[in-house]
Amino acid sequence: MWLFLMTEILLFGGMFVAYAIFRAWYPELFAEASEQLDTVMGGLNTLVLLLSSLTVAWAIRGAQTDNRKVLVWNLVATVALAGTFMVVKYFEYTHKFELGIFPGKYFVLEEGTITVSGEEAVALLPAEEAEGGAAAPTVVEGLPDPGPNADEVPEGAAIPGEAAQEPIVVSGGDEAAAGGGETGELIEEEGIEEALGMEEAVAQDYGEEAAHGAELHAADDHDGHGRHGAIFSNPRAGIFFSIYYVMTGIHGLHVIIGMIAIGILAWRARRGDYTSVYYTPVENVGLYWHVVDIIWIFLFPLMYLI
Amino acid sequence: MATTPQTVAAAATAALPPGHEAEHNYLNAQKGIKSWLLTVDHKRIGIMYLISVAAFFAIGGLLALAVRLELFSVGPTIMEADTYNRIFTMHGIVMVFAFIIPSVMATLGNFLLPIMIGAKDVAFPRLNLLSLYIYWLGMAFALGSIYTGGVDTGWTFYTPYSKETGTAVLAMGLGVFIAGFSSILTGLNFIVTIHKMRAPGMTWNRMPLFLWSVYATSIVQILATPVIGITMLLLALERVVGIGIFDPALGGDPVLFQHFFWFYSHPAVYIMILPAFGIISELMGTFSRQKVYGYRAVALSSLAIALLGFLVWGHHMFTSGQSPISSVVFSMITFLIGVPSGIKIFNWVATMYRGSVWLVTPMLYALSFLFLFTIGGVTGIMVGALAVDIHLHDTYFVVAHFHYVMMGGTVIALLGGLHYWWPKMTGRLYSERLGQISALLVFIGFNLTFFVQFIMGSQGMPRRYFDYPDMPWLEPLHQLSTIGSWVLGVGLLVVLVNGLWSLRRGKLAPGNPWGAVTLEWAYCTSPPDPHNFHRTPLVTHGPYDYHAVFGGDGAGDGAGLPAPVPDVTVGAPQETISVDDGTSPPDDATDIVSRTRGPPGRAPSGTPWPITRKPLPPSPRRRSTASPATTTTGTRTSCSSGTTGSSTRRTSSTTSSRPSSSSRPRSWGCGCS
Amino acid sequence: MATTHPSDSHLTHEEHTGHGGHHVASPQLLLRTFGGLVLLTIVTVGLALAERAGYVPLGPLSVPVALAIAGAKAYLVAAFFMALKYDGGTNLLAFVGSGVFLVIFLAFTYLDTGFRDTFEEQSAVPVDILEAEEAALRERQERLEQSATPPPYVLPPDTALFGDVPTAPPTTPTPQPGLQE
Repeated sequence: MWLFLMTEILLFGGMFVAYAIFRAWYPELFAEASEQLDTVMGGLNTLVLLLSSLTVAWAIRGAQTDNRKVLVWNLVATVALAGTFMVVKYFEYTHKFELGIFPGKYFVLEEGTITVSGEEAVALLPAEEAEGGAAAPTVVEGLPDPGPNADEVPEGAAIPGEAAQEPIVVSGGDEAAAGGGETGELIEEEGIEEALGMEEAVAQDYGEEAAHGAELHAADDHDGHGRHGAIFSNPRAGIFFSIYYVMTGIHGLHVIIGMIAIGILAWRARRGDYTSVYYTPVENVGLYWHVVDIIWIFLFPLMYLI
Repeated sequence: MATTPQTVAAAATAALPPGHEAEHNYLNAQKGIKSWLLTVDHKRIGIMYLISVAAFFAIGGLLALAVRLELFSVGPTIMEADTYNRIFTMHGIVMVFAFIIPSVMATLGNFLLPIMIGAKDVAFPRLNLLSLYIYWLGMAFALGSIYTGGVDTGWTFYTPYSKETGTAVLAMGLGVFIAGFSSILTGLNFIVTIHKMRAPGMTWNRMPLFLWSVYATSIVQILATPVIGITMLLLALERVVGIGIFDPALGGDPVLFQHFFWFYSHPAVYIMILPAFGIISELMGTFSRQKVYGYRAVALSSLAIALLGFLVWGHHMFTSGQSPISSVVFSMITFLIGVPSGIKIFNWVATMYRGSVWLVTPMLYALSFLFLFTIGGVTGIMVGALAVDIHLHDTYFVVAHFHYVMMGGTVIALLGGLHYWWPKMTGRLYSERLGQISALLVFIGFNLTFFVQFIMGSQGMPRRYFDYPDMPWLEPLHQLSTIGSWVLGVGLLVVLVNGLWSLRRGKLAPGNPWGAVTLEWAYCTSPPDPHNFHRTPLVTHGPYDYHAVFGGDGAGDGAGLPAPVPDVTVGAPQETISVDDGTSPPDDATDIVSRTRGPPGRAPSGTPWPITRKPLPPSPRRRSTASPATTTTGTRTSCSSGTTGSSTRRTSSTTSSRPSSSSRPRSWGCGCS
Repeated sequence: MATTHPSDSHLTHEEHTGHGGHHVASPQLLLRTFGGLVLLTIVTVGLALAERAGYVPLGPLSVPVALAIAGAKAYLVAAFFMALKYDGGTNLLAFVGSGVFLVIFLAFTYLDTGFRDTFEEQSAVPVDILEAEEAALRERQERLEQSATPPPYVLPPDTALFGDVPTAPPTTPTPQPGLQE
């Protein structure tokens, strides 16, 4: 199992190398792009994963002490936590897609404008013109060569199309309004903010954001990490998000695999397959899960913080 | 099935060669295609790998013949440039990913590793079968890419071309990605097996050198293969969603792709060649009849090559625009690789020194290997030199270099190993005459094909070119090379015919036709039992202690006597070779190899075997030499090839030719209780 | 064993020596590890946010500090959750070994990407060739400057409007390629 973990580490290692190389080349770009990511959500996910690591370790302890109840419930809790992780991840992804933060050549985050363009460079109107303040579906308009039906969702390349079909929610300067759009996400998030005692730091960010003027808000992350900077309309910024999507994507894939494996374990543990004499599968999957956790431990500061 | 003494006796009386177990072995234990496809027996999996790998070798070989034919004359000869690009790409990919990487590891490695360490199977038999299916799946994708247009990037998939070209890079990349997992699983399995499942007494220092190579290779597979996985994934994403990591237009870097690619693919070169080293070590020991010189140095040099192999990938990129400082560093480390490789070469030569070199087919291949690999290795140092490489990069010189290493190294060693272990795998002896003809043809054809390519390369013939209208003076050389490829093809065809012929008509193989002392020969029937051994073997001596069985003083340093060449004309009884026939007492802690095998029916179960060692009579083939070192003992063994030694060599076993043998302690191994 | 929950890890350990001597982590140990992890997470997030807000100017240290914290967290997970601390050589070797190879991968790649233009000034081109090239460039520059006439400050009258123009043929302000360079 440890050998397999080596391969896992090197698999991610390749991407860490790519990250390091490009970060060395474009430090400012990466720093600014990193601020587009939602630190709070990332932090939340970190805690969720850490907690799940704890439950897995505890489950192994349960197996070692022949305590089936502890074993099963800890495994179930792990699956639940992993599910939470994926849900948060889902919200993060969809939100970025809405903003036009796509990997690589599809990266089109523009200053003051949300542009979702594929091959045909179809753009969305600036949000503030579409609807003031409150959350509402953004009007889609083709630019510079509008399609026959300006109000229709463009059927562009697969990914832009996908994103565009979701109602684009734009938060204005008022955070409360933003809460209306992505309620669940925000509520969850606010709860965590309080739990982390980071409200002030976030609020500080809001304050700073306000100083930048209203025209930026449309493009901002709803908790206000977007700032004026080099990443707008910079094709190279796509690199960061490419690596972000690839790394978190593959990591997410591992989480899903882990969820399945742990689910099977829980089911079998409930049947009483594992005892203190035989619990190798629990141990191995546990090791795997810890490695997934460790990878996230490194991903989180690299992507979200620095 | 428990083989009783009676069945063995019956087998022996039915004129089967000793150790040949016709009634019950892994080949006939179960019948039907399903019993093969669902087997977890490492031997059957090894055989299935062998068949698949041989098929891919045939495909790749035919593609190579097509490539050579195209280059026969200036101008389009048999195909258009586009087709040519696809064909040489397919040749490279098939040969590298479908053939060479699994060639030795998954075939001979799978078959031999558990037997050599005295285990029943690998550590994870089902994982082993899974790796085979993953390999098949990956190859299905790779071959499927032909139907979607083929790939024309060369086997290296360099960006940005591999991103731009309209061909089926995706399917191919996916195939390589999947096949990588097969490689990882195999490596993982082997490492765990070697760590956990060695038989009692099989210490690390008693492992055959083949296993050291396999072990080193497994480490490389585990560490390097994930990187090709992520590389192919990034390449696929680059094509599908344009992530831009390798695209300069988006701020990416195509050279980074080369780093990623070669971080795997250079160590992969050692995945290909290291097991071949292991085979050669085995052949050198067995067919020189004495210890492999410098066992520990050879074993550790495998590990050294494996580790150093991770530090040199940049020498593929001297002209790619990487930073000069890294070129210099990579060039320096590349020279270092020459040291462990040289250690191996010198040790093999020293093994032959004053041994009884026995020129049968496997040894002929091993000698070809020494010759060809040395050329390949030395030219490797040439192209590893930074300044020289600027001139030679991407020319036929490089093509010739890596064919000398890969084909002249790995393939030749694989052929030698296949001949060597063929009796063990199939229970049949191949035709020695055909074998020697094939070895000769392959050697001549290979050199004819590739040596001229060194000349062409140094004159500036670029690799992968469809045509050479500016260099018409190269046409004769190209034609020579093409003709050589035909000779080579015929030689390989002879190998195939020999193998198929032996399956039908070959004589039944005895348990130990070569008189080797590693477990698969000394302690295992031909073909092996489904569980390899009836009882877990107890290892009390090193893998090359031929003297323990066949005489000689075992110094292995050329100063003493080598063991004589055993009489291995087909079916001759080899009395000093112990075959585990299930009759020896279970807790017999004596030296298993020196135990005399009694005539059938003579030894009742439970009787302690006589543990006296049979000294060897003077062989009629021995002749005394003038060497002062050997005059003291009076005999000096020197052997010519293909002798039909008399079968009476060991019948008179009373006289000792070596006075020192009586004072030698009986147990040559140590630390085994 | 399901009957009791021994809080003493030593007791637990002694009772379960059956399975290869695997370490049985006590609840305190697990909880303390988790607490440490949470604490470190809060520290690193707090630091990052504070730095972003301008309170803590870490400057170039920000990356090493964040990585050090991540490394400490990874150590906690590996040592206690994965019981590597109690495990033994081979596993540790595998784990650390993969890290070492990762560092090799990164270091050598960076050796290229970080130093692409290291020797650009000390090129291998002989000096006389460089001087000749420079001289040729300078000569070309002078030639272009001579041939290029600056655009007229006053445009000549349009002949379509003002029929007869006595002055010299107008110098058309065609862009000179040399000027663009």
